[in-house]
Amino acid sequence: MTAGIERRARLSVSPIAILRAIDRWLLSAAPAERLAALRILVGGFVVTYLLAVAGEFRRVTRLPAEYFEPVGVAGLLNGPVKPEVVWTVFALAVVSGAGFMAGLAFRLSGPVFALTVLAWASYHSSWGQMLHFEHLITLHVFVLGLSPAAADCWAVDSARSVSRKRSTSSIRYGWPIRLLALITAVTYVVAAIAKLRTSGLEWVNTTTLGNHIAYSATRMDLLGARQPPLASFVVGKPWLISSMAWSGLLVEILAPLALLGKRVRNIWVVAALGMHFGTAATMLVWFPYHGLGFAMLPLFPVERVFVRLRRIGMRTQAS
Amino acid sequence: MASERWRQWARRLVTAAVLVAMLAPLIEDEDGLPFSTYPMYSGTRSNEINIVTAVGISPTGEMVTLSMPTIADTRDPLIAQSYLNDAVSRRDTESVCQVIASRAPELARVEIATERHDAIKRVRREPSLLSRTIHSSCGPSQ
Repeated sequence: MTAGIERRARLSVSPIAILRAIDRWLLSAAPAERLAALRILVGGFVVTYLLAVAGEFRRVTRLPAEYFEPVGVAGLLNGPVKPEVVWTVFALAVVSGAGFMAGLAFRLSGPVFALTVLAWASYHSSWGQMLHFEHLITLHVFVLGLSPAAADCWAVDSARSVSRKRSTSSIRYGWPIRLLALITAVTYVVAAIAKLRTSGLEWVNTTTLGNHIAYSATRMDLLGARQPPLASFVVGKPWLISSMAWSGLLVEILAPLALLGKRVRNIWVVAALGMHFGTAATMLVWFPYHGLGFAMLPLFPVERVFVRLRRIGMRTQAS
Repeated sequence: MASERWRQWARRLVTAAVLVAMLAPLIEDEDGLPFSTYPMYSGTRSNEINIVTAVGISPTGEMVTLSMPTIADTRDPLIAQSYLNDAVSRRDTESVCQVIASRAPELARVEIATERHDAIKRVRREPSLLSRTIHSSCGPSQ
């Protein structure tokens, strides 16, 4: 009898208890190395990405002014900027990004990198096509760039500092990581809400996703590119289309579960990566930051990879 | 101690502000940057689709599929497609046609057209074209 009441008491969770649990999760400590590892990995990805899309910087300098439809901070402009300004933003982004990665003059390079990435993403999407794969990158760089604690270790700044701190765990390292993880989860949830609000459960019927896949394949075909490799395989298989739609929607709407614990996080990350690879194989729609797992890094103790690599390096040197 | 308590409240407030900013576009249904409703592929779609295309016509009269770099100086299909869509919606297909033709001087003509296809048939490599409306036709020398 008493045991039953206790079990019921444990199961009936009050809203205040939930809020306290969320608060404890949000303001939990993490090692300085974890935030530093995220700075290096996310910074490394974004700098590589910017260099890889340098052609896009050139392209936007050649577009006619009447095609300019400003979004984001580009809304502050009266019209397109001169090519010199675009290339200055590119150079600033790459140089500050290198400083961001290295943790060099981070109190300057961090915010400058965040602002230049926001400026570029806004300008890039200001020509009639919103490029949604750059939103999460921008938000993550902003959180990291405005967190001075991200350069407390594994950084040029911390190596040069006379009052070099010993590696510690603290909320100042934990909170930005929790915020990054929360932003990733909410991004997926918003995408799911958009589908449900626009199409309702019609989105998961046996035709909607198939028509989207067929549309993408037709577009690729007419634009002189190859059709997505699995498009013809899945189109015309209603059970497969509906299963893919349901699983994709569930991955998106259940993203916050990844914040709850290791096992559910691992399951969700595998499912989310599967969804991104599936989207690439059937529609040739590829979000590299998400699909390569960089968006999910804040969910993991990523510093262990660096520690392990360092140990392997030392062992190799010793032998 | 007091300053740490203040910092903790600041962290809670920043977190709440970020969450509100991320969810706000849903209320106004307004896509933006860096906060978006992520509307891509969220709607339903018929298997019959209208799609703006740019094709080349060779000197022997054959239809030639143009690449994305030729059409829009990009390798991104979303950008290439939106470039053509914009040209039609702005009634600017003549000048866009000339720009594309200048990138493919070996062609006799370039055509910008809206084509209606059965996309499912297209994927299955079956005849899919239902109708075609030409917006502009131009040659390199025009």
